[in-house]
Amino acid sequence: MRKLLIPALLLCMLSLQSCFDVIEQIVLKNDGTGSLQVVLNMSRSKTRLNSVMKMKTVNGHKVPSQQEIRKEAASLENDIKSVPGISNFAIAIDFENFIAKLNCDFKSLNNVNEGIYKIAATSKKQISREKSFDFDPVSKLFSRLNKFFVKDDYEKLSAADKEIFATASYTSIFRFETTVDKVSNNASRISSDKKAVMLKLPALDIITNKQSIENKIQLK
Amino acid sequence: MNKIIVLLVAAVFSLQYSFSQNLLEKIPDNAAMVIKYSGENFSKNLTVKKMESYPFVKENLFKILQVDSLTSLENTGVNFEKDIYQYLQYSDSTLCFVSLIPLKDTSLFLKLLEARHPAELKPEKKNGFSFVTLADNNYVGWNNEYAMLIYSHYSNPNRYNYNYYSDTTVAVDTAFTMVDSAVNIPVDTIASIIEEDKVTEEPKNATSPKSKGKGINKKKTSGSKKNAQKETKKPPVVDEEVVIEEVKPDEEESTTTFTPYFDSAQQAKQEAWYKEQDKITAARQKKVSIDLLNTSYTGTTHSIGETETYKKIIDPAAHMSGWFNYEDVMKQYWGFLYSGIFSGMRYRSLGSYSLMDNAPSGNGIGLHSSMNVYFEKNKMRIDQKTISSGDMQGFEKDLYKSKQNKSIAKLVNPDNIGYFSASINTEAMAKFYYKWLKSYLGSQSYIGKYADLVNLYVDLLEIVIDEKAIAELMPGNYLFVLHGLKMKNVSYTDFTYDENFKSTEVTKTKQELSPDFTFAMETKNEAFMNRIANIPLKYAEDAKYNYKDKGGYFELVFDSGKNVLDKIYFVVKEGKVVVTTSKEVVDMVLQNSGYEVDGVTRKSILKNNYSFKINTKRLIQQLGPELNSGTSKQISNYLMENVGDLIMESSLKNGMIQGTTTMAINGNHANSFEFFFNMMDAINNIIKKDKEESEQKFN
Repeated sequence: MRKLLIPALLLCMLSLQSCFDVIEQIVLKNDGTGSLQVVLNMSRSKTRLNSVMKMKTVNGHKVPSQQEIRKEAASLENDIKSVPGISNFAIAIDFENFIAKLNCDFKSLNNVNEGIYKIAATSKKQISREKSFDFDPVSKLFSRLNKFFVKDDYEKLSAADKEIFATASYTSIFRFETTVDKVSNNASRISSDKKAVMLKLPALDIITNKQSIENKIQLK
Repeated sequence: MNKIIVLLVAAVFSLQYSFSQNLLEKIPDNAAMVIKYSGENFSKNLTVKKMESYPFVKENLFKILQVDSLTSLENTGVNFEKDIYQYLQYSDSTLCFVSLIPLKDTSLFLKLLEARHPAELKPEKKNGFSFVTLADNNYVGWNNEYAMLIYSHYSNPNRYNYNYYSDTTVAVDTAFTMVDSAVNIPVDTIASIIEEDKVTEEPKNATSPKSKGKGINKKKTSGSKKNAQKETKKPPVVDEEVVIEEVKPDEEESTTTFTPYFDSAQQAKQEAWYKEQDKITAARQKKVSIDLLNTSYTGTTHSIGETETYKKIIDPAAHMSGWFNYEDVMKQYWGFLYSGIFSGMRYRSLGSYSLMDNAPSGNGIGLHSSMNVYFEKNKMRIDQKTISSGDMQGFEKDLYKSKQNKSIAKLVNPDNIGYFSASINTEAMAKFYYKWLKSYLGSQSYIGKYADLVNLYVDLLEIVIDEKAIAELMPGNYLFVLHGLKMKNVSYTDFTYDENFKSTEVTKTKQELSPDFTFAMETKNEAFMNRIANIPLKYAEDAKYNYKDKGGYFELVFDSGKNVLDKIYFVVKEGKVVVTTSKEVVDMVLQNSGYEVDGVTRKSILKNNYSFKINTKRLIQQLGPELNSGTSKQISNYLMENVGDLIMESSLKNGMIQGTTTMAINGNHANSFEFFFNMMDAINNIIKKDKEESEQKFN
């Protein structure tokens, strides 16, 4: 996802006061299998992105073309397809509305962790093999973890580049077969049918570590 | 008795001289750029005490100067009531940026210096001044009257010229020559620089012509293998401060060898080469800096202040002024470029030609420009003057022989955000282009010797190209008007969630700013322009864009939900080509009418070759919806209350290109200089407050 995020966020960065939403959705079955969807919605900035896409560079940043973004997405698909336990991996990019959707099925959340590690490893940074998701079918405890801290990277950005995160948001929706007993993150909400948990936070709060996306969800 | 009177008079005069000495006298007439900060005028506008009362000054400026925040700037020993100067000079292939700072208390100034120079480097005393090395490229000299800060940069032409196939490049103790089959390249050494230094130890006069400086080029012409061999017999000379580690070349490899791979021995030799070049660079910088100090403190300087050009375009009453000699600035820029990164290319690709010798010099354009800045009560004013000589003077006259078309000026709407009007003589521009091309190409070392052929080619070009036809198509009158910023509805896709967080894609609308503008230019060849406007009609269907002939004008329609603009119109009518987003403007052009332009604007556009205006208040007001976050809104509110219109005008007056730029100031400020400090302070406070509030919210 990180590989796709880079050109996408770069696009966003190029237009002042752009905004984007990242929506992460997991449907988890009791046996630990499930599906993952990540949506990057930049539709609110589409008029600006349309203009920016016609340029070669803006503010010193190179503007990726549609072909370059598609190529990047195809490369990501190839990387992830080789991860055991991940199937039906697909990336769809709608350049009309500037919405990118990543979908896949997994046998275990460990396969998803492996995929995330693989993507993160493509960056220049040294990263440890930390889990992003965990599920223990015995104790029925689902965990959303976060070991990626980007505050220092954010601080290095220029004021104009920082601006794009001002109105960006992150949403996570976790759906289960059984009902939810309790959640650790107070900012999250449990659905009416008690089978889903939603957490929506401003991206800036996450980046600056004011709020966390971490959540432990105990199922009944 | 007479003797006593003479001595008394001499003492009075010397005392008077020491107090009234103008540092402008210390700036040589071959300086490429001179900046003056008028201490007297600035201190009238804002005292040092008031300036340092601003917290951001203490937080930032004091930090840079490494001054204790409890100390006053008045305790730095600098006399802020006298003029401070900075100038740029190219000497011995070294670019020097010099600051001349008047002192009132040398001991306090030395205290300030102590914190900045490395402990191991002690101040040195010379005849009439002292100096200290802050870094390899940074020197400070002083006497009781003024300090001289020098930043020097020598673009060592050999820095990127390591010869991978010959280890002769690492001989370091004497002058030597790097030889290959094509060229003989003399190389600077520290020893040779020190030798020069000894010769120039006596104070020398800074005079023009600039050729008096011993540049690297001079050495190059004398460089030969024979000379180098002769010089290698000299005993090595070691500078006290620059200790050179001698790297002896391997005797077995003393002839040119071609080694395909880079082994560790070669790597060591390469590193030694680079190290040596860095030392040569440092030695050259030091030599040039000390020469400058010597000349300034003990020599005689032919001051730039005495030149007619400087006197003519620099106003002593300005708070701040800048003087630029374009020819020198260009020469130094190119010299820098050619002697630096392109030096390797020069030696390898261009044989024995030295581009440095023939770096484009500005092509004899003889352009001197000035900028006088005045911080007045209700506005900041910048007067620009450009004076030229020779061909350039005639060219300026011809270029500015143009007036804006009255019907184009009518396209400026009364409540516009801003406009830019330009009126230049295209035919004069086109004609000058040939002269410039000949001069430019002729100055290139590798083309220059074929000047007769080049001139023939340019003359042929002049015959083929019909500049009268170009001038008919575009006589040179242009106008851009930003009428306003309109809000328009734009659709976008979002996701909504039900009570069980199941998502649904929905289309929403939001408002975005859309610019309303007009670009117009004059034409005397409507038929040709109409043909251009008609061309897209033929390809619109295939290329899938919506371009239509609407009878008298053309319309390009964009997908309104996807683009900031809805439509753009093109009109060719009554000697005008108009591209606009405004249907009102289209109708006016078709009816050959226009807006009622106020007298001031109309006069500014029609009486000047360039006229530019931004209504700051209106711009910020209309950008309002985009500046809606906490700090942005507060900052924009502050600017809206305190910043007035920005206006620029330029025309040819008294044989000079003269321009005036003004920025009006509103609000409660003693003067426009104080306004800048108040503004910085206010913005800093807004940001600080916001940061504190958000931290409190989080905690």
